[in-house]
Amino acid sequence: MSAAPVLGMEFAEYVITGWVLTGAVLGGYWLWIVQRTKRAERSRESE
Amino acid sequence: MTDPTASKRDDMRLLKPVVSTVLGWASLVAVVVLALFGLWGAPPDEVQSDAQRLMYIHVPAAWIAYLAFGVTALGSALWLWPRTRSSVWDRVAGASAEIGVIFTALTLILGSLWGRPVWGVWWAWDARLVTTAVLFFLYLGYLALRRIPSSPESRAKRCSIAALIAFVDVPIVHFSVNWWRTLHQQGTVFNEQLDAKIHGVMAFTLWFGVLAFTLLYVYLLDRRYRLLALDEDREDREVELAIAERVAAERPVGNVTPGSVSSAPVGGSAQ
Repeated sequence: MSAAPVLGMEFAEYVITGWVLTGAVLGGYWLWIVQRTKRAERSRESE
Repeated sequence: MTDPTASKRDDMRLLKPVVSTVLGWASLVAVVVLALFGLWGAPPDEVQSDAQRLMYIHVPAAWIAYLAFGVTALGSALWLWPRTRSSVWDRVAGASAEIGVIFTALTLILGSLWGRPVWGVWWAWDARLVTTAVLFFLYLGYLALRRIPSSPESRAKRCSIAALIAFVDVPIVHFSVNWWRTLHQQGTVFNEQLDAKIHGVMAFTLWFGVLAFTLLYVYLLDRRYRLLALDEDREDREVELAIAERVAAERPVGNVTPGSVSSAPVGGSAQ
């Protein structure tokens, strides 16, 4: 169960992928909510 | 005199804007600190080495999924209970379920990424994995159910019932590692002996991960709730506008008196 260390870390490809993916998913979801909320608020104010 | 629309406006937010902003920043800082501890601060595991660093997001993601579906079940029960029935609970349930689905998806993906170096496979037909996948699809179905066009009342009713049924899978997921022989390890903290098998910086990082994700969950719940409320408000205004247009279209136009309007059907031929 050994792999060559990358960035001083074993299994770095799995670990980094997991952390980056989590950040991307949660960040993307937050951004989607913020953009849709702004759009909805703008449309509400314009009426 | 009271403004009849005031209560509707008031329930468009769960938290005060300033609380939501503080919560958002606190979540961001907590997640950054978690990344520092999870990737560098905590020591590598004796057996799994650095692959175990995925635990600091995999386990909190799973716990938040439980929490989110628990809140969905609670919101649904409060909507179904006549004394507490309010559109607020339906929105809380809907917003929480969506966040729960995202955290369940993350739990499955992170588990797969962790399983590959440790078990040698991306996926196994293991009780914990299968029941978690079932949980994901159950709540995906719940979200699809929410999108079926209908009156707010009937949508809330059917979704509340569906949420309570789907929640049955949450304890099955949690206890699956005790009830069946599984490849997945038993609970590190909440195991049968209630004996935490994690200590020191590793335990701190895990608990900090739970705290960071809980802050993020509450923040996202507030934001998603507001978006749901704004969407419902827009739908209400669209319906009101459509009704007003329909009423205006059916009204006689200009100086035409009711008696002078032809009763012949539109498009009827005079043969």
